[in-house]
Amino acid sequence: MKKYFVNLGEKEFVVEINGSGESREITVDGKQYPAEFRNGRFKNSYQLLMDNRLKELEINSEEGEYQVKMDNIEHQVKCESERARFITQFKKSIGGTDKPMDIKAPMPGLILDIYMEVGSVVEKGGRVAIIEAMKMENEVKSPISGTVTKISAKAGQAVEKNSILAVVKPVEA
Amino acid sequence: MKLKKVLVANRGEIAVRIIRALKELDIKSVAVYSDADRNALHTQLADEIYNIGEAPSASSYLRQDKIIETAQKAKADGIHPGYGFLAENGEFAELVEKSGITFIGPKADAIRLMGDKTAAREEMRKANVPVVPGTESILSSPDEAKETAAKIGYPVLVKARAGGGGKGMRVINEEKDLVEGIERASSEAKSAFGNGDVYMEKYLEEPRHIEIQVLADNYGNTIYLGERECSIQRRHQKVIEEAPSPIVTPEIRKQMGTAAVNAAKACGYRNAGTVEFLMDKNRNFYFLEMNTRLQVEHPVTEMVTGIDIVKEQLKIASGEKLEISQDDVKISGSAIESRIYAEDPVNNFLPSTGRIYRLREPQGNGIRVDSGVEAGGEISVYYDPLIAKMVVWSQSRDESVKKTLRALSEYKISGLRTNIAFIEFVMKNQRFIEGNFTTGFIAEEFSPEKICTLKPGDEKVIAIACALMEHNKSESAASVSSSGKGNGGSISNWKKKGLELNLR
Repeated sequence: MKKYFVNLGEKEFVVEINGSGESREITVDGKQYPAEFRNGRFKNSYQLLMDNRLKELEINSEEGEYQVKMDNIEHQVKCESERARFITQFKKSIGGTDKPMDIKAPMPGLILDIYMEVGSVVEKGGRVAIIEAMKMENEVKSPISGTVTKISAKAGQAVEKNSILAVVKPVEA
Repeated sequence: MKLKKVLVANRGEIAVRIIRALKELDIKSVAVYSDADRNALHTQLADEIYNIGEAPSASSYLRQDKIIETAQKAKADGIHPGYGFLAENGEFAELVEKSGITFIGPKADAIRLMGDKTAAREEMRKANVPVVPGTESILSSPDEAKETAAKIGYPVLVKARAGGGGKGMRVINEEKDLVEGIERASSEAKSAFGNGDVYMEKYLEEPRHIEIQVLADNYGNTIYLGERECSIQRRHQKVIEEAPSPIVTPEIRKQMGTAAVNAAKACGYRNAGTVEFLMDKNRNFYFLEMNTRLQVEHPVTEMVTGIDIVKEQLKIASGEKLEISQDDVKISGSAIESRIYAEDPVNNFLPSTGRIYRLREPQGNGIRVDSGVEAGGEISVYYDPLIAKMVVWSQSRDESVKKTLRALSEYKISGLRTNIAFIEFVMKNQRFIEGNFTTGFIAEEFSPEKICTLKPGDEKVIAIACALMEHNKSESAASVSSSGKGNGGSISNWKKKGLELNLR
């Protein structure tokens, strides 16, 4: 039996997968859910058949996180096996701190303004820069709360999607 | 004078729309494309195609010289500007005509007159078309502005003279905010349009945006094709449009239509155009501006009148007399258009770019999709993020709302984020269903939580799917390492699939 911890928004689900093939059993938070998981015909497309209802999903995974699009809305999901979690917790307990995070450009464009400097304290979700793209001004938000340790871009610079704009060191828990 | 070959000076869905009309009239079509549009749908449908430069619009679709040169090279006798780009550029219209090519639209003078918002208002006053109370003159000093605002009465709206699309506009509720509001509107206008002149209007509270489609031939025959309601807007960008308006009676339609025709005649208008009005809560309507071109939302008018507006544009430009009389125009049924944008409604409608690797457009009874892309096509940063316009028609508005929801449930676009969930939200909203909304609707009713909150059942679906993805990853990783020894053990089909998944 393999156990997985799935974080969706504020909630965490414990999913257990027992066995394989036709006799495979899936439980979520202790309750059994007979489900059939299929690949769709297109890249990143999958289907989950549960209770005779088919749900279509578009799933992309990037660095251990999943982006799941269902009913035209994309959800960010973290999924960790029991073993992986054990390892993370062990690292924490021996004093490793959270890794610093990059603030990345959400799309290609031109940086209009940067609202932070090395040493600034930023909040998760706080506005840190403005990028102009497709005739509109778009806000870049910090993914975590913390202190800015490095700024890698400046106003007037053209950037690609996922270009690193800055690095934030998380607030010590 | 009869058009034989027309160059379409545009791209995306509207270029496709125009090419279709050209084909139906046996007129040869010439498409132009930038480097970014090398495989675009419109280039696959035209008779001849010409590259006109690098991706940025300023290097390609906005290059008046290149477009006219291309038209001459292709020996086109007409140019259709579509909407946006050079469609309302008087200088371009004049240059085209001077080159001996027919500009499919009104004369340059009419474009220039209606493009100058203050001059347009003045002209409308003269033609007895009701206008939003305000000033025609440019605000030149803070004192003058304060006096004008006091006369009009707060709240007031400061607007760019050369503007459009919501830029260079500010609502000001009190005198103390007036001077700063004017300065900001003016600087926004200057950077967006090169002209910082602003004027002032009364700000109508809870207005509805209702516009009238007009058609005029070159012989003075001018008719109106009914109204479109476009009040579902976000930051002055329309998202959902419909015809007829849920609150316009046949009498109001006649009054507005007549006013629109008078407005068109006042500037010697020819070809297709749209007169935009604002309607206050007492059903009084006021001229807002005139769009001297084909509009994005023209399909809803086509669906309720049965008239092909683009074909009429081409016939008019060919010198034909309008065969439709005002009495011939009948409004039947209800049409609703949903603009499908590559935008993320959960994240403040941030534009999404990328390649569409799966596309299933809705079909069936009463569905029309005007799309600029195919599967494999791309939405890039260089142009606006409109993927397609999905239009439904049925006998009643209630049915059209249901049909829109049905169509959206079939719509599959993979590779980008879209505003489909947002449109579904609107269609299910009680006020929208009742037809009880104004231009403030989206701001009042929508918040991201309303569409991204999951039902418990759906949460489980996602949790199970991700756990299985993660599970398959580790299973196939295990089988790869074990099969490293010669031919290893046999790999089950599940694991083989898992391997394939990871290698894709």
